[in-house]
Amino acid sequence: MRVVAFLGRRLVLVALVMAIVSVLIFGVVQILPGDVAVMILGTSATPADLATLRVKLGLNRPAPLRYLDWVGGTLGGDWGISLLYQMPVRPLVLERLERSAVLAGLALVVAVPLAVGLGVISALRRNGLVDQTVGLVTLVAVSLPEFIIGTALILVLAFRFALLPPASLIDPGTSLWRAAPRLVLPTLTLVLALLAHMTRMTRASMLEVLEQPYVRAARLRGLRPRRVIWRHALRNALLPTVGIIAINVGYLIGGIVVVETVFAYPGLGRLMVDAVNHRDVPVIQMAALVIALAYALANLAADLAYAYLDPKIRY
Amino acid sequence: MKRDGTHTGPAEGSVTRRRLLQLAVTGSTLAAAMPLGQRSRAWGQAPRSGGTLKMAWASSPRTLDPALAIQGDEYMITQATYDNLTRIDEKLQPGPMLATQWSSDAQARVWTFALRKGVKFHHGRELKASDVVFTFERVLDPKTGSPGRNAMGPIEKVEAVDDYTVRFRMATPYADLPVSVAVTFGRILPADRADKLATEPSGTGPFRVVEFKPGERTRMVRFQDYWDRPRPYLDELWQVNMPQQATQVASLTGGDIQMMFEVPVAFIGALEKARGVSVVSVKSTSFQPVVMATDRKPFDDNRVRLALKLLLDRDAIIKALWQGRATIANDHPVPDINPFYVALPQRTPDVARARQLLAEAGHPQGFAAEIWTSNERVGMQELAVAVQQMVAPASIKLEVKTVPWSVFNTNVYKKEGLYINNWFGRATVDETLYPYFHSTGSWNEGKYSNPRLDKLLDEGRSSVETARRKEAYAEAQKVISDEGHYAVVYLTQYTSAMRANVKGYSLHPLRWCDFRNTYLEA
Repeated sequence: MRVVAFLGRRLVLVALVMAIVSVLIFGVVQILPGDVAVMILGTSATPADLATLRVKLGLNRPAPLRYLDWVGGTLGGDWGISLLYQMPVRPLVLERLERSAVLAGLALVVAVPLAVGLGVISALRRNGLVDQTVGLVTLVAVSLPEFIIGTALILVLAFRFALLPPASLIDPGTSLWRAAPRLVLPTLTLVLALLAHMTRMTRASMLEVLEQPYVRAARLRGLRPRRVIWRHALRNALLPTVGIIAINVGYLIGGIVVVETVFAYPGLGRLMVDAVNHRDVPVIQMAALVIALAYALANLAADLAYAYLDPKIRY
Repeated sequence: MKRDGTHTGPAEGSVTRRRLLQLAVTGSTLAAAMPLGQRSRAWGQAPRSGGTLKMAWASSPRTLDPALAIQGDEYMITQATYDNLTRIDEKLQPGPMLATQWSSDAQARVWTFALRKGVKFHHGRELKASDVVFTFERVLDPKTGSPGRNAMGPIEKVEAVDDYTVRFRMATPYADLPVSVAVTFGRILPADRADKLATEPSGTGPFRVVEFKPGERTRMVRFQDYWDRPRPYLDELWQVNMPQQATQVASLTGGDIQMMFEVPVAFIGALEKARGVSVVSVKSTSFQPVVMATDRKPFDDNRVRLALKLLLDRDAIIKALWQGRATIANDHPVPDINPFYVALPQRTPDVARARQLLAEAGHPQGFAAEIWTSNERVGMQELAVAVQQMVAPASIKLEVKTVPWSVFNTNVYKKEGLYINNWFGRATVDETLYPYFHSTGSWNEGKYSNPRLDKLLDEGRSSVETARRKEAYAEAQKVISDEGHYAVVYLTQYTSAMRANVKGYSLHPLRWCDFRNTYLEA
């Protein structure tokens, strides 16, 4: 029962955050320089043509009214029409969101266990060969921008040695199994970018926990080392890591934009970039809103994970 | 031979597998030794029908409506799905397409086009003159808001004389109509599909759109009832969106895609070395001018404009920016493939003379200014930096200001006093010069006004005698080169790459993509 009440309170907070975020998004988009009409018609258009288009797009109405229109429409399910593609925004954003979610999900599913595993091993064999190698590699990976990692992977694994396909061109009707190789390089790029923080956090936190009296007590009681680690130490060590994972979801969303561009993966990040370049206001707003919601929900999930891992943290 | 001496091989005289193999090897070696063209003729090979061709573009189309399409990727799709009245070849000469013949009256004010009979749209109906009328009225209608409204000449009225004859009435004499109707805005649309143009396009072209996912890909399949059978040869034609050039290159060498629209200079070397890939280049008509506004200091004085033109080391710029892959230009945008091009003595750098001109114009100590550019079109930023460096010996201090393309179009174009711009070439000499240099031209960025030039340009567009037109345009090019508001250092080269088995495709100087004759060799 308490969990439900807790969840309910959190969801209300999420709604509040989304409301504030929507105002911020709308405001920022209005300040963006560049004119949608010019982007659509090009520089050879006459001022009369541009004015006609602006009226057609409803750009001449005052801002607060347009904001209310937008919010009302969104909540009612009408997400508007893309100024650029003349297509409804909702199916476009949802389809792209699904694809980005697959990529992000894959990256997390690979990165989190890998990072936790590497972090634990590094902590257990502190300053050993594994620890130092892992530390160095992850540091380099997090320092390099994703487009460099991605492009380097393409040039080495796809161009120089044709091991993996470089672009995510998935023919319609291809089964997931056959399409899987196309997802390897983008996922790998994202995983490399994510590893560093999570591995280091797990390692540091694990080291601290292993020093704790109750761990020593458990060992002295004669429990097997593996049981000590899994049952007692790790659960507490993971707390800060969960926080890092939640933060990395935000980082992941940013990295996905780059990875989708490099690998021609048609996801939400790319949609966002194209929309911003062309000042496609309805798409920019909805994509930003959806991304903000994803981030808010990720943090909510992190809070729930905290509550699960540490009985003392029950709000 | 067995140990006991009996023969284990085949009977004498029979054709063994080994013998067949020997014959085959000899035969194919001989065949390979013959030059490719002769081999085709000798063996009577026709283009092979079938296959899917995927072409990668860095940009993504936004619309399928030919009246509103202004990007190269959009042109590729409309060129495959529609036809025009005429087609323009690589020498910018018009040839028949949906129109079989055309003629004008003596003043070039009334043009009559005869239409081909039996041409089908994708939705089954036959092409009639009413469709042509609909198409042009739509583009010319200000309510459509088409950027092509003024691009095809001063068309006043279009009428259907009968089902297969169309008449154009021009507001002023216009000799280039057969060429100008071949541009992208002149794609012939079906009159009964006005509301479905963007979602379910139906044209008379060799391919029809089956899937349109902007930002992702566009799929087209062969139109079985195309009027120019047996074309097209491809089963399917795809346009795929890949923003990163590295991804395109790797996909091409790996065989994921069959063509890249354009290869940036940096990748040409790597692709030329790759196996199974051919790299082709053609001189294009695109140019990147240094724009000088003539309505304010210091470029209101032609001596200052000329001084800047004399300070630019064109060969060095071409070498540094394009690794030598560009055509040197003489401060006007007319390409040498244009029939009205005239070869003026090539301007060479002359710092001493430039300094002298500046002193005469009242700038013995040079002056300071901002030069604007964008980093979102290849070459623009590099050119601004090159100009900045090259004018320094004359004490002209330039500060390079870079902005994104969207900001450039709203804040810099036609507003700033000195900037670099990026223009695709045009098909007719009139469209190449009039909008940019006539005092009433819609793309006259420099606010340049020269009554003598106006007269020459008016004469060139309205005269019907080729000799007189050539004279007028020759004079115009000289005036523009010496006094105009553009410093044009080069015309760019267009380089593309495709799999070696892609045949029947040639690059067009206007960067148009035509797949009507393309096929994939086995």
